[in-house]
Amino acid sequence: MQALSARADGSTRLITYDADVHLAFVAPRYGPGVVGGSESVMAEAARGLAARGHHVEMLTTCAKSHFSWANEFPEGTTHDAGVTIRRFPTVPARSRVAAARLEQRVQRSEPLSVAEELAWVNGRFRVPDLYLHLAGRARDFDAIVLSPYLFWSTVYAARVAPERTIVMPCLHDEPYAWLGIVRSTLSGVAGAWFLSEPEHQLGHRVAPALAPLHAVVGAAVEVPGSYDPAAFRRRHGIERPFVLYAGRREEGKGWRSLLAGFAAAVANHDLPFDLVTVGVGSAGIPDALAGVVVDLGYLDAEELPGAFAAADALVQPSVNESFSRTVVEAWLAGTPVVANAASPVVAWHCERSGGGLTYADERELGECLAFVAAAPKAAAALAERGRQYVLENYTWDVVLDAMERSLDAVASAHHR
Amino acid sequence: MRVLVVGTIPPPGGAAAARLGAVAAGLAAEGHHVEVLSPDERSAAHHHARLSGILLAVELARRARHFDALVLAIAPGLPLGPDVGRAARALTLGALGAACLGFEEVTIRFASPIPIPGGVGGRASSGLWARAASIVVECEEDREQLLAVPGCAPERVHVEPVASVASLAEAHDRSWPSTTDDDLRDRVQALVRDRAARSRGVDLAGRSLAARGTDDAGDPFAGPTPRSTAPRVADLLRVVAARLGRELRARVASARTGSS
Repeated sequence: MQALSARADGSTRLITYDADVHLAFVAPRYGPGVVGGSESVMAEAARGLAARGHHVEMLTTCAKSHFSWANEFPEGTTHDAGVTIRRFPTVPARSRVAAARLEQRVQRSEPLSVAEELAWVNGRFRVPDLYLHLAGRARDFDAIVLSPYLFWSTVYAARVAPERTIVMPCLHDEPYAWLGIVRSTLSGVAGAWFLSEPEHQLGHRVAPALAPLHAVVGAAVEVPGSYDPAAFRRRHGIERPFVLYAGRREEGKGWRSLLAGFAAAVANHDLPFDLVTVGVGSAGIPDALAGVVVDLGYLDAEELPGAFAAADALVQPSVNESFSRTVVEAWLAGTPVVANAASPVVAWHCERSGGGLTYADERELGECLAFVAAAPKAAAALAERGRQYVLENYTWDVVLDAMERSLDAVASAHHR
Repeated sequence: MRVLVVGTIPPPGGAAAARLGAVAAGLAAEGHHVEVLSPDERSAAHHHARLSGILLAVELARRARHFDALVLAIAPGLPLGPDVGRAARALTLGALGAACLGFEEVTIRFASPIPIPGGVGGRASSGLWARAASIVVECEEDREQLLAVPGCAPERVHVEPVASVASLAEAHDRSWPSTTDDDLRDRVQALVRDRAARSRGVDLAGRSLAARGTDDAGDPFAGPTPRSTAPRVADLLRVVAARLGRELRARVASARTGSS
């Protein structure tokens, strides 16, 4: 089979594929309104590989919220952009009390027995119907791709047909990553996909006997045809300059620390910026910041390029990143990036590209934002370096090539 | 059809769990609504519960109205352990027979040797075997035992050997090839050699399998069923007591604030 593949610069190329490759992607959530880095990469990789002629099925749950795991999407089979979507209902935890207690112990990095680790995995949600479906059809697939690392759907599905399974863990250095169940999952499968070199290094530390066919494949975003920052500002009534935070408003993503740091920066540097935030979760803006922090809530994917382009800078406060999609999207839009230096992945992007600033504390955050305010041309030059870095490394053309090489290696190994 | 499968399906449980998992997956693939109930909390089952002794009958009776058919795997400890007394055995098997009346169709799958202390005979169990539309055993000896029980018709008792080459392939190399016949033959040959080596207690390289036991050390699904991690009654009572205590203290504090 032959197909046209779009390059980042808008040109196309003709590529030839083996159309008989059957792939299963297993993700805990999929569909409109689902926010999350690994979910986005899985969805777009599935669609991208389908567009290249592969037969791709997405096995997922009926859940939309990663807090409640309630079944919101209807069960059954649908089709989306060439991908067959099969949804299975989640089963809630048997005991929420026990699950909450184990979660607290994991968060405190207390050692858990093997049985307790499994009880913790079972304590969020389970998808037995998905497991049975995969167990019955595993041999229909040349490769099974699972992500992210910490959910039942990955830990259990990894045991169905490990010889043809690839885990894309989206690892962060957090207490969950150091559980024995994660180590055995990453060691027991055929392959692993990492989104960045720091994540790859973390993978080796977490699982010294890492899956033999692992690779850094990266992740990618669509390159928008154009940006319309003025339209974005008009639609949302934003007139003042602003810095943007895009993502889940959660403690684990650094949202609270950003609010505190931004308040200090505004007070110390007399900054002209507001802080605009888009994403899911309660923003919980303190009254004292109500005048300078604007919450636009969840925005459709089509709206985001305008938001990135309209911002004077993107701030990425999260330490727990395995790729950091928003940083890549901001650079593509020509917007400078200011990121938490404690995130090995984002710091790595910033250093490798020469296109982003990092901060170690509130003072440095203030200085970074003051630089963006005082030297917009220099900040734009940094952003341009970031844009070139993204176009060279993180377009879907590049990433899907890497994924196909890895899929080929895994399929060859188990067919041998 | 709505089918309740009772027993352990993988990840834990070895070959027997793999077989029951394949049965459940096969039924689901045929379009039946399948739910699995397992005593092992590590199993990828829909429900987990204690199923030893009469508790199994209680669970089945409780769930019967939601299902048309039952597939019951009788294994060591499910429902009877080796040390169970005669009275408990009779009570459990009798209650199980009664609970099975709630299902339109019952299939019983036995591990081998049949894990019923005292054998399959006796009045208490005859109702249970008679209720089963199909009984699956692993070898001819087990089938003979069942056929000796009055009411166990030969056409209802089937032998499904566990150590078939196909199941070996599944256990050792799940990538069963859909390639040319020559290749298939080579793979079966390799599996047979592997099986023979294993029966001698060594792998194909001549290394002792016992020495390789450490391979499983990092597998959380290996080993016997762990103790349940579900909260015990004592834990729940402690939580309730703590809540009541907090409530009481809060009321006392608010009463004091009010009076002052």
